[in-house]
Amino acid sequence: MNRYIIRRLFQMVITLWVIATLTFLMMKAIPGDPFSGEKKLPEQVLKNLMSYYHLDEPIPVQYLIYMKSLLQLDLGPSIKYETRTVNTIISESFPVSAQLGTQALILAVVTGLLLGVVAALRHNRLIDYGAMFFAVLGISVPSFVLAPLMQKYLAVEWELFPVATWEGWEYSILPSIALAAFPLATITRLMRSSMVEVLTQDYIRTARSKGLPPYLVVFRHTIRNSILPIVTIIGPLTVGILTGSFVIEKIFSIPGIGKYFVESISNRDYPLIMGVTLFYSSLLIFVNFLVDLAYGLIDPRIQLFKKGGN
Amino acid sequence: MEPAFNPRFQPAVRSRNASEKIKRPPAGYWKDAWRRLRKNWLAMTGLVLILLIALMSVIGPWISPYDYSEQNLRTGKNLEPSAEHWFGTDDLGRDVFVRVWEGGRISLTIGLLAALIDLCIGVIYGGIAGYRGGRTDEIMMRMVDVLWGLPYLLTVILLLVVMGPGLGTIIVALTVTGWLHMARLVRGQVLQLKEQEFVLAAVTLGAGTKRLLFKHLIPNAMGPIIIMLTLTVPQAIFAEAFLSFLGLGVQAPVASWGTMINDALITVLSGEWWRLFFPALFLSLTMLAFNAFGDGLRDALDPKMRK
Repeated sequence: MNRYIIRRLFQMVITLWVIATLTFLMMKAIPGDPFSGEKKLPEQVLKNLMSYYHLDEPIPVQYLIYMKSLLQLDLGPSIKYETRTVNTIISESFPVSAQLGTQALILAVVTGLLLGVVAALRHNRLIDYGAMFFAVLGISVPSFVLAPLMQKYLAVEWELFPVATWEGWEYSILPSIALAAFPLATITRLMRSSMVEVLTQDYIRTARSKGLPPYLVVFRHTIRNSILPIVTIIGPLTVGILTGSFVIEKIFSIPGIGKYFVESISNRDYPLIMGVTLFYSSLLIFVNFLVDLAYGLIDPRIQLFKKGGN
Repeated sequence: MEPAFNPRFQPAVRSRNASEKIKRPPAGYWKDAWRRLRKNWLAMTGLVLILLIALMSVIGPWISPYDYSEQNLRTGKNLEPSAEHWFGTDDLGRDVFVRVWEGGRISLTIGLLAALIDLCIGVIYGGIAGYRGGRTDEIMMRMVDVLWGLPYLLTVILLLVVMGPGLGTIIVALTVTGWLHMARLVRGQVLQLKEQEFVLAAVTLGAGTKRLLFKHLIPNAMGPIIIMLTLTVPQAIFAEAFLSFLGLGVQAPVASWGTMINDALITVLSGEWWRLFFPALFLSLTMLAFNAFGDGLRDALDPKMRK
């Protein structure tokens, strides 16, 4: 077990390095540069800027310079936001997205699991159809439609919630709901389908016929055996939600990290592209590692680390 | 005494070959599944709805007298639904009816193709990784991590530079990362399934890798696979809308449901409800149909659900 974890940690570093290298090459391969968007700069100014950000060096040298500062966990200065470093941009905007994301995630996981379990237990009955209709609505109404509709009715016309911006907890309710809709629906549907399948298994019949109370059959036997697909999905979902949503943050004008994933690329803000990408990938890789560990806890028959090699 | 013999009956000729013969056509797996699917009215409604929407997307633009890009800026802007314009017109005076079906062509093509490609790559990749396990699994999953970690928009822009704009590029862009979810899902399922007794039984009976994967492991993971598939279709349609929103998707005046909804969002405030309502309605109907059909298909493909 310990050896497996150490090996995985080592793999994570390698994976991250590959991602960093590929991203570096890709962003140098796309046309455009950070200074082409604004009004024409005098040649000397442009030259000085290029040399300040090492953009006049050959690409391999730029790569080595970047990697060296990366090893010291320094993500460099942002080109677009001249006064801030990438480290401060991330440390200022991520907590906002993370708070919003955590709320949305709790809402999605709790409601989704509940709806999925209830729907499966009442398979093909009214409650099941109701839950599935709700879930399909959550999937088929995109967040960029749901959010303005909620703003119009819940905020502007009925004045139940503030419309936008980020000034307190009540401001986070609408964006949390908008952010939670899709994952909620995903979890509901996966949980239902997975549980319906487990409920037909013989061991469930055994558990029932030996007189186990229904709630224990559900908690001990059914949920544990059917939650694996949810766990697989929740890993990347968590990272996606915690690192913010460009669309939701834009609609509700929330100062989160989501916009930098899009803006850094359209601005060709090279250090910021690298920074947010590496931040996102480290979270993702780590969460996928946790998911793999969770497999073994949920189903002890799964042993990822014992059967090394082939 | 004469034996009781009724001349209306003939003694049957007994032959071993004849009695072994199967008279009725055999009900194989797929036939059995289809029979179960046919009885599920919800799933069949879904299927009919999908076919109807697909049919209208094909013939809709033909039966309408308007062209999807034809503008009428002087008199035809933001008209309410009427006998001439069934679904009204948009802010450039274009007929919404014909645009909805033109958009259906693009959106359905993108959604279905992206989902299909995701399915093929994801299931096979995830299946192999999960079944082989160990070192193979680790290497394959680290490759998934890398692809997942790369900034998506950068990939799309790079693809646009290499392949040029177009529907094909968008579909490739959507599938480059689209299959990762499916692969990890299938891998997780296979990791769990392969430790179960029926797999051991199959191995004992001498089943090879291919047979185990395609006859035992993947069919047993069909539930989550189908659910994931029905989720991929709307995701691909929305992802295209998002790309169009950033100027990387289909270019105006070409319509897709996603771009139509996107362009009509301002009408939430200004009140031309039909511009948002019709594309959103058909998108939601399609999703509803796919989900109902997907659920029915899952139940039909699962022999354990036989009553």
